[in-house]
Amino acid sequence: MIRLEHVTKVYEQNRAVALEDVSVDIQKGEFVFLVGPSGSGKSSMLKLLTRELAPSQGRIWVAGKELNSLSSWKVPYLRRNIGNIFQDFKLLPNKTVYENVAFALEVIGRPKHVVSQQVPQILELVGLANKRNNLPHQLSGGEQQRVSIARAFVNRPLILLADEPTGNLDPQTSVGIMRLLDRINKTGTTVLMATHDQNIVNSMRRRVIEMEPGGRVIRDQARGVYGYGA
Amino acid sequence: MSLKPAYFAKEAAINTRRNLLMAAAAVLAVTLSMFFVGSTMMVWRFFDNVTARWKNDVQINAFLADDASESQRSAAEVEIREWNEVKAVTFISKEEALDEFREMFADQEALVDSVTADTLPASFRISLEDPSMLPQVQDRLEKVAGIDDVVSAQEEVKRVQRVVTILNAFLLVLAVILVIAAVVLVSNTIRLAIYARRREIEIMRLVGATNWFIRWPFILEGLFQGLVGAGLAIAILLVVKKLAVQWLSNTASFLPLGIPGTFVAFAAFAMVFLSVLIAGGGSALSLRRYLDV
Repeated sequence: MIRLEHVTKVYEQNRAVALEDVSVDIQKGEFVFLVGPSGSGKSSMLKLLTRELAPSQGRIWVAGKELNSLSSWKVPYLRRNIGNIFQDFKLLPNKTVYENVAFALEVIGRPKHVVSQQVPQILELVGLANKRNNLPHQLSGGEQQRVSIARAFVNRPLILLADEPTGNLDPQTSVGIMRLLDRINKTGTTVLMATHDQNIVNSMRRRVIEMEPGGRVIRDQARGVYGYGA
Repeated sequence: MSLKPAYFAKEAAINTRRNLLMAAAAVLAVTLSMFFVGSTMMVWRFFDNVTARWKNDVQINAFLADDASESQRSAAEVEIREWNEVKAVTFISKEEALDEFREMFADQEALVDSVTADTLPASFRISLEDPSMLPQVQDRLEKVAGIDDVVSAQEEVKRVQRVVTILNAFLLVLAVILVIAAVVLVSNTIRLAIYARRREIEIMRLVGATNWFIRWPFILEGLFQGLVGAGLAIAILLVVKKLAVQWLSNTASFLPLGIPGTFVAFAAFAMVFLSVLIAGGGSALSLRRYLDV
């Protein structure tokens, strides 16, 4: 599902090395934690997978497509296979919960009847059916993250990329979010989650890929623990 | 992917409403620039009308000095008739000149009343076998005794054309400056619209909206500004043209004022076409620089 082969990413402006010779292979349906201190290249790796960044060296495959040779007009179609979740939710403040989720379908040209069928379904799944007409600022952080998960998953992507999704949430709320991601993973969706949340990693015992500053992978462990700094 | 014209139009309308003042400035710039482009075309066409009447006219007017005697006059006439280059010579007396003048400016009584036969010079009207001989004939005429001044229509035409060329160059420079201003202003409103929608755009890119889906509302917005500007410019130009024709037909009725409808239509089409180019250029500029898709 995701495959990196000797991938190096050097930012051209400041010559900073984000990733160095990273090779990773993630199968369909896996749940993978990406851990490591700030500046170890976790976010860069996620951005490489959506072709927001291009690698300096090496090759990347995502959802069966070889990204190096993917023409730029095909990138949007690649991204329809990938859901994204962020620490800061990235919700549109002037749209309701329903509209925020519907927006993701509308802008990729899904017909109205599909939108009006799938959005309530996904809101049910994330437990926000009763808040569909609320604006983001009327919701708690955990609820906002659920909206953003609904938006990322409403198109049933093959892959879910999460960049510190619990970074702004308290531990109890974080557990709820992780349960939701776990449920989504059980539907066969591959989940790759960059995180600093030691408790979550240690309690879930999934595959852990650890990176160090300079962008090297120093550990790739099945059913791993958070490890570093502990 | 299915195109959604209604969706794009709605988004473009929302953008325009959000930044009404900037949109108005952009429309105004398009209007002004297109008005000057249109005026330039009209002025050019009008003077083309005027000068066309004279262009192939190779008549020379040789005015007699007021103190020339009758014998000087007839001697001159006989001499000129003998030249090979000359086809015909007509003598216009002071009285005939006055009649002509009265006819030409029939509507302007004050002007007619102020002129008597004495104030107008008598003249020979000379037509040539070969128009290209005009300068030589003119030089020879000036040396004939009793002839005071030699004027050919060609010279007048050239003088008028020189003025028109300068006027048109001026209008054209103004139009070019305004076109550039219009492109910048349209581009700026689009830039603001993109900025106002940066969150939406980020999400659109994230969830895989195609580049053209993201671009269309902004292109439509620019196009809309261009078309409104062109429409306004055409309306203003038509009104100004009508007023100018009215005014000129009162004060200068001898001028051929008719500009054919096909030319007006052509000018209008050119203005719409140019304004679409301006709007497209302005939008494209901002889309390239600020909409990184």
